[in-house]
Parts: sequence; structure tokens; C-alpha cells
Amino acid sequence: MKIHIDRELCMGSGSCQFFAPHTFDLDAECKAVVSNPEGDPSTAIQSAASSCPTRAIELVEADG
Amino acid sequence: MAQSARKPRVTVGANAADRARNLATGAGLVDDPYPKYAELRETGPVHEGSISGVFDMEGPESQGWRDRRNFSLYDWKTVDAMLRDNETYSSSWYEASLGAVVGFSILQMDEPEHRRYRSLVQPAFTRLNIEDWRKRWIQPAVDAIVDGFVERGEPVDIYAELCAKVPVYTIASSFGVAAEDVPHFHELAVTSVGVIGDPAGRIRASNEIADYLRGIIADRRHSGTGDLISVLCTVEIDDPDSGESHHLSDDEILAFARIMLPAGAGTTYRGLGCLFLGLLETGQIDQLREDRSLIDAAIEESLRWEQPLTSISRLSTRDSELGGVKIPAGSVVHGCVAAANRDPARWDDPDTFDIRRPLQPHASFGSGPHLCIGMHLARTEMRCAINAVLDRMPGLRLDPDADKPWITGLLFRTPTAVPVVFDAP
Repeated sequence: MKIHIDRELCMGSGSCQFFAPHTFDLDAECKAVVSNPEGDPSTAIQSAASSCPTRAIELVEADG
Repeated sequence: MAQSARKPRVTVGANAADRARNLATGAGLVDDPYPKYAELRETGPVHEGSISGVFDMEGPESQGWRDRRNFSLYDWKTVDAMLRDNETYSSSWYEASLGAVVGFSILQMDEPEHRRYRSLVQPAFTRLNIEDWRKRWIQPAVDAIVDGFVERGEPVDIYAELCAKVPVYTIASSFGVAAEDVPHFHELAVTSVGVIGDPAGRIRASNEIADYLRGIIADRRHSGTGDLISVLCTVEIDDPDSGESHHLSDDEILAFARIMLPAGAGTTYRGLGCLFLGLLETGQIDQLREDRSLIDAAIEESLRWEQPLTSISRLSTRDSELGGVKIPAGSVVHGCVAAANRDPARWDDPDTFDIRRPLQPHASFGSGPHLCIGMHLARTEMRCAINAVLDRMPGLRLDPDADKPWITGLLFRTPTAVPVVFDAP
């Protein structure tokens, strides 16, 4: 799974980090970044993305 | 008004103002709104009228907007969509309620102003920074509160003695309020918040808090201590018109600081009480004793099952449609998060409190750009309180000799009490 974060949309709520703490982090500008795209089970990553208050996280299933 | 004809089964609250507010929001009058929510979801999910209105009560949620049409929403999909669309559904609804008491705050701002102001304080509320809050303010507050009753070894109502105190004591100490002033500050906070009751009394309490905080602001402008008010004194906001930036005024800082109090005095303590009651009634507290790693899941499940605040309201800025119902511009729209949190399309067996339920987002902190800024703080306060109880009150169980407690209320959900006994440590 590929994880894309729109930094303009991201408001730094940290909701993604709550649901998938080993996948998402917040950088010095309080914007979400991916620390490890496989850090948590895919259900947790999906919860993280769906919880984003500004829909800044896009998940793209790897094809294959 | 309909509610005055009904006699409450119980009155609950920290003081007279809190009891009056709880009664006006249905405590003791509506114990179990969930079957009705389910019916409204199935026959809706969107209905004309406020949530109190469909329960034949004159609730406070359309106060200040009496001349408007009201609509209420009862399923996950519609509530979530409404809260995310903050261009169509404006937070200016708060103007008539909390805005009058705490001043113009991020709670009632719309974009792009909301984002400009919120981003100033958002970094202070990250999980990393809340860990710092935990060490500096939450843990010492929880320890001191538990010290106050645990040594007695007697039956105790932890709703009044612990849950009601943790959030306001935390916020007060993070503001630098002197320890001996905290109980009075708590009383003022409880009196000042809420959307009902004598407005003059609320404003008086809020002004007294402002006077106290102005002294602290003056002090922090001189030398910061890293607390929230110091952060607010240091940050600069960009002025989109002039392109220049400036420090926040005292009034802007006060609005930020005072909005923290309804969060503590109005919501987190209820959530903590519901969590303890749910765990003790179902015996699931035993699972936490054996495996503390379940605590976070237990907190989320409790917030889903019995959220402190059951609805979030907005003003519609333009004609729109929700759940097949036309919503004219200028209407008041109430998203029933309590009904959304028990939508069977999203959760299996939604009425059951089950801490092992697979974790997925609930609506108790809202949704969209106004998602609760204090959510990580609230979760950490709840986690500290549970850990303290598990550490220091062995054998904790409901007091078999006390009146059986229950959760009550329509717009807020609140336990009547959480009476417990425990073994001598």
C-alpha cells in the first residue's frame, strides 16, 4: 500500500498517529509524515486515513 | 415548557449551576435515548426539529436561533459528512451560546480564519507534547486527587471525587493557577460553561476567571514557563490583509484559554465516569488488571458507547441536502454523534460495551476541521486516572450497599454516581 499525504490539507491533528502510531509521525512543522508504510496492520492504517479531519491521507493499493 | 412538567428521577451535578444545566439537557428525564435514536435513524436519518424537540423537550441547542428551522441527523454517514463540510455548515452556531461567555474563539470560527488561529496552538496538543503535559500536570494532579481519598480506605464516589476533578485540575495547573485556588477555579469553571442557565451568573464567573488569567498572561509575557499560556504569548499570527504578523492580544489569549474550561468542566469528566461505570458494571475492569495494554482500546470503546456530548450543531450557510432532505440556508443543523456512534451499518451489536471491539474512529471528538484539539489530552487524562485506580485501589468494585448508578441525559451523558469499594492497599 502506498500512502500519500497532502501537506497543504494536513492540519496536524495527529489523528493518524493515534490510530497507526508506527506508521505516521508529525514533523517539526506539525505535518503528518510516513515513518514506516508497513508499521501497523492495514486496518489500522485505513482507520488512520479515514479519521483524518481534512482527508489529507490517500491510500493507494499497490497493484500486482 | 415540556420539561418543567416532568419530574426528574435524579438530579446530578457538581454544583447548583451544573445540576441546572444537566437537568435542562435531560439528565434524570431521559435515561436511555438509544431506542429512539435507532427509530429516528431508521425512519430518517434526517428529521426536521432539534434533538430535544423530538424528545418533547425544549432543549438549549436551538437557543438563540429560535426563529430558524432546525434539522437533526441520526446516522454515521450523514453526521460525518455534515461535520466535514464546514463551508456549508458553519460553526458560527456557537455565537449564541459559548461565544457569549468565553469570547470569540476557534470554536466558532470558520475557514480560513479557523485554520490560521488553530495552527498556532495545534503543536502544543500533539501526542508528544501531551506526554510532557502528563509528566508536568496530569500525573501530579491525579496523584494528589487520589491521595485525598484513598488513605481513608472507605467507600467513595469516584465520579465526584476523581472524575470531576481531573480535567479542571489539570488545566488549572497548566495555567499556573496556585494549588489553593484550584477548588474555587473549578467552581467558577463549572458555573461559567454550558449553554443554559442565568447568563449574568455565567458571565460573572467567566469574568472572574478572565481577571485571574490576565494576571498570569502579564506574568508569562514577562517570562515564559513553556505552558500553554506562555505558548500563546509567544506565537505570532499573520494578518492576511497587511501581510504582517503580530502577537496575540490579551483578549485573543483569553478566548483560547477559556475555551479549555468547557472541555474539562463539561465533557472529559463525564467520559471518565462512563468509562469507570462501564468497566465496573460489566466486569471488564478485570481484563485491564491483567493487561494494561487494553486501556487505550477501553477508552475508545467507552467514548463510542457513551460519549459525553451527544450532538454537535452548525448553521447552514447555503441551500443543501442531507439524507434526501432539503436543508435551506440559515437552518440550524444538529448532528447526533450518539446515534452515529451506534449505527449498526458501522458497528456490530452497537449497544454493547465491548473493550475488545476492533478499533475504528468514532464521532465523539467530532469530525472535520473542528475535530477536538484536546483529544489526545482527554485520552491521556483518562489513561492516567485508570492507571492510578488500578495501582492504588486493589479489588475495586461497585459498592453493593450504594444505590445502583446509571447513565442519564439527552444532550450530555453522565453517570448518576460511581460508588466504589476497594481492598486496603
